[in-house]
Amino acid sequence: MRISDAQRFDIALNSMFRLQESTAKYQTQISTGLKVNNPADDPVAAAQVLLINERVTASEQYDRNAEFAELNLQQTEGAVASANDVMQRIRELTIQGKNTTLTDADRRSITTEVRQRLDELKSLANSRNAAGEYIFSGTLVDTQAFTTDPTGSVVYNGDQTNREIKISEFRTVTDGFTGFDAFAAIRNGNGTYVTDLAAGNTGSGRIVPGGVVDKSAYQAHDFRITFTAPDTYDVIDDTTGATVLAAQTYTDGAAITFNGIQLTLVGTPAAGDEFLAGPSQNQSVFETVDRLLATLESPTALAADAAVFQNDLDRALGDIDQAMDRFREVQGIVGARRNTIESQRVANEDLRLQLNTVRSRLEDADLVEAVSRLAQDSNALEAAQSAFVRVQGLSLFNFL
Amino acid sequence: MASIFNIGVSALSAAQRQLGTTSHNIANVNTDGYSRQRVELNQAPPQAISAGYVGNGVRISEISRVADQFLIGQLRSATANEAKASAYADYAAQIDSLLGDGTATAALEGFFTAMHDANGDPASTATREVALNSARSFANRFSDLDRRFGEIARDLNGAIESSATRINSLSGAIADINDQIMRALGTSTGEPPNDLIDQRDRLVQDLSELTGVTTIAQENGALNVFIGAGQAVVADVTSIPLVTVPDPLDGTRLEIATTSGGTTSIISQSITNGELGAALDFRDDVLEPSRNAIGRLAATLAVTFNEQHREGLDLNDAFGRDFFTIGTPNVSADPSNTGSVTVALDTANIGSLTTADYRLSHDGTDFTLLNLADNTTQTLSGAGPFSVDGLTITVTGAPAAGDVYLVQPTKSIARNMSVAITDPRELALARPNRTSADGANIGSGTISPATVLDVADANLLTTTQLVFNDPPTTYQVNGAGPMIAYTSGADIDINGWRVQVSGTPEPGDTFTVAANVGAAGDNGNGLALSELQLTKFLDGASTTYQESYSQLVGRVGSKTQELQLSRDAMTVLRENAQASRDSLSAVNLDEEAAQLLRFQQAYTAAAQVISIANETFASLLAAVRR
Repeated sequence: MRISDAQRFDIALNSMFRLQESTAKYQTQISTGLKVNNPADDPVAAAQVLLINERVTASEQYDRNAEFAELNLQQTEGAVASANDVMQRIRELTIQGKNTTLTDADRRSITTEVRQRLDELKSLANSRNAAGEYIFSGTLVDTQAFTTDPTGSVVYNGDQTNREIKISEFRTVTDGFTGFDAFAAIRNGNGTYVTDLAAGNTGSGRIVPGGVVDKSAYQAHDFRITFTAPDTYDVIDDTTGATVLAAQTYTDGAAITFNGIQLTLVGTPAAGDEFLAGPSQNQSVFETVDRLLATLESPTALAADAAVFQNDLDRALGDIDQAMDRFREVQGIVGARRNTIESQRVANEDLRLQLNTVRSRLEDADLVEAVSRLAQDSNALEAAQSAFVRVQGLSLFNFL
Repeated sequence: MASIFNIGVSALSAAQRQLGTTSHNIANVNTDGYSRQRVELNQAPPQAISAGYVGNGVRISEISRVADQFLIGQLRSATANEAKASAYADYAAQIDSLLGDGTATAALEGFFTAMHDANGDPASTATREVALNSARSFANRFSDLDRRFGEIARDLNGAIESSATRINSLSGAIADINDQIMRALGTSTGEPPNDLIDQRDRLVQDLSELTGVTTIAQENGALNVFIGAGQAVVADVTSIPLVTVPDPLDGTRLEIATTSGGTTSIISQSITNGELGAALDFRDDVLEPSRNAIGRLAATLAVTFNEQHREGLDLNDAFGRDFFTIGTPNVSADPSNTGSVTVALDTANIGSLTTADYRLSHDGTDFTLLNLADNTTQTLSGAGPFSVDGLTITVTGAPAAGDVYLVQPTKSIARNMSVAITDPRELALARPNRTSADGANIGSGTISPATVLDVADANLLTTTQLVFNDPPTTYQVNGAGPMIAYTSGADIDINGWRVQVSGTPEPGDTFTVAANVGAAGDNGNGLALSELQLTKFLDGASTTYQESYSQLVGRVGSKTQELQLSRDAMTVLRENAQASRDSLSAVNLDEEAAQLLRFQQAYTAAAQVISIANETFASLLAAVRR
């Protein structure tokens, strides 16, 4: 083929252009460490990398959320654990208070300590976080969770909304407890029903609460055991007005069974004395302690008063146990949530590792290859340059 | 004797001409488009004598141009193809790197990240402020993107304008040369004016770089040049100029047109090759679809976010207002229209929004909506308003046959994107309702948080109680009215909200749904806002925001990659065509050097012939004198 001068020039120039373009490409790859520097370099990889980046960013954010939830849960756990300790102490004091040999002075000092413990309990329930928000007010974080109303009873001012925090694409965790769940809505009695003496009993009879023996027969009705004579009683369903058991013979300490529950009366009731058993109600831990204080301050000289005193202290113990059960339950749930968070963080980290591996495979340059290609191409470029100079030097005119 | 002289002189002048032509070739070794020339020789007509014919020397028959019109034509079309591919690839690479630089997705991620932080501590105005700032930088990034698209569109108009100017000056020059060539052929011996033809070929080549051309050679030596679908730009000695006019329905687009007899007809559609074809194709196939895709993403995100935001309560216990402000769909009406329409985004069906532009026309009875991206049509019968492709088209003036509108739903959305809220307290993170179980409840029933079904319900925030009857198999709303059967966990929809009560309530147990006032710590609506990031809204609820963006990046990336590959292939083809043409027509200096030697020898020999003739004559004279 006939080669014109213009062609000779173009051939050399075009090959140099190509080599320069390719060395520039590998140079960029080496300096950025990426083989996809513009989406056009690998559109599929570029689009995938964008989605992976989003998931990595989101996953890092989920970890930050998890940290936040963890912090809130730690605080909840700490407050509830302290509250449990306080209740434990109150329980000990209550058992001391039951001792019939106590002097009035002994009882006063017990009362004083219980009162202090109650204050401690209130301040725990009104805990605030670093931002000054009440942690037990639900979402009404600017409202004090528990306050004392003019009648002296402690009321809950928060709401019952639990806040969720997202810790992964598919999982949320509740980052605390409302005061309603942790301190206020605690069932009294034995959790199912609660027993009491009617006001004005004159005998020394009192109730030992017992428990449910036949769940299927149990109805949430109010019952009354009425003594028509010191050794005869009826059991009446106050909700329906029906007499459940009529003219039963009373034996001190014998079990009485009705409505699927079994309880025991002890002592010596008088005719007209009444004993009550009704469904458990929500009773805040503060009300429990308030009632305990009232009991500790009540007179015990008369037999009937002593019966009421013992009965109420028994009941207080039951209520305290309910509260402590609730605190332990809260601690257990918080612990489980923290475990969830921990395992989710591990899972998040695994996910990021996996995503980063994929991303690296998609967009990272193979440096070994890039360096060797660059060396190859720059050698070729040098060769093309020297060939150009040599070929351009060849001319017949040199010999004329 | 005379014939020896004559033969010598003819040889001498032939050699001289050959030397001259070789020098011309050497002189033009670096002239683009020059075709080497050759002196064609013939024997001069012989002289008859009795013994036969005696040679009469040499004669120059023509100075020919070594060229092949086929190769030139090939080079011309390869040049047009390469110019298009190369310009197109360069244009697309601009969009490719604009979208691929990662700042837009980073802004999107940053916004949702900040929303999560706000959800972690909703009562803090600091985290809310950060969320607002991130939202602002996201909105700014999107409006910047749109502004960049607008700048590129303006630059493109400049390129189209200057291409048209250049085409006009080239076609003028070609017409001039046509004139000169026709004259040369007419007046002289009729031999072709080689250098003029080379020049004309070069001008046509330059023209084909701007827009593909077809040529037809005329008997009279003129070359007629056509562009696009047979639009003549040179006919004999006249050039027909192109003009640029703004698109009648979209003034931001400059179109190529011709004028004849006072009417202007737009021919942009038929120009598909060369740099001009690249600019026009790029505008239709990459720039505007990308711009619309960004607009659609902005519209979808803003509308869905606003809808959710309106369902929440802010720190002032007020319902959230629109969070983002965006532009509105463009509607351009033809000046001759008699009716009028308005087009708005259909917030309820925003997932159906497309990236297409539409042409809406009326035939006297119905409207026809033509999707300009895929050329599908939909007929809209009746008085409207029509809900179609995520748009609500409302007829505001009585339509007439022949009414035409250009509808660009997404073009101006992103440019005007901003955050409407300035006070961090106005970020509506809380749910509107709170639910609670009465403290005196004795059953085990629990109530779920309330979700909003209809934020417009007038009683949404009215305190409502569900009171259980005896037996607790039914409940009544606010303790009155019909007894509603209770199923644990079933949806209870009242006053625009939905809750579920589960468990076993006892008679008299009460559950309350009330206004969620003062719930600074509630993030219920905030979680729903965050969840939008993972929700598939676009393309008929199949694509998330981020997926939509990355699809756009992938699409532009593959287009760019395809164009770059095609450019590389076209470059090779053009180089091959150039090599074929140069191999035949371009000058080789070695060859010319050899020719110089050869013609010099011929010249010397011819001079020798004259010298011999002279000597012969001299000896004859000497013999006579003696």
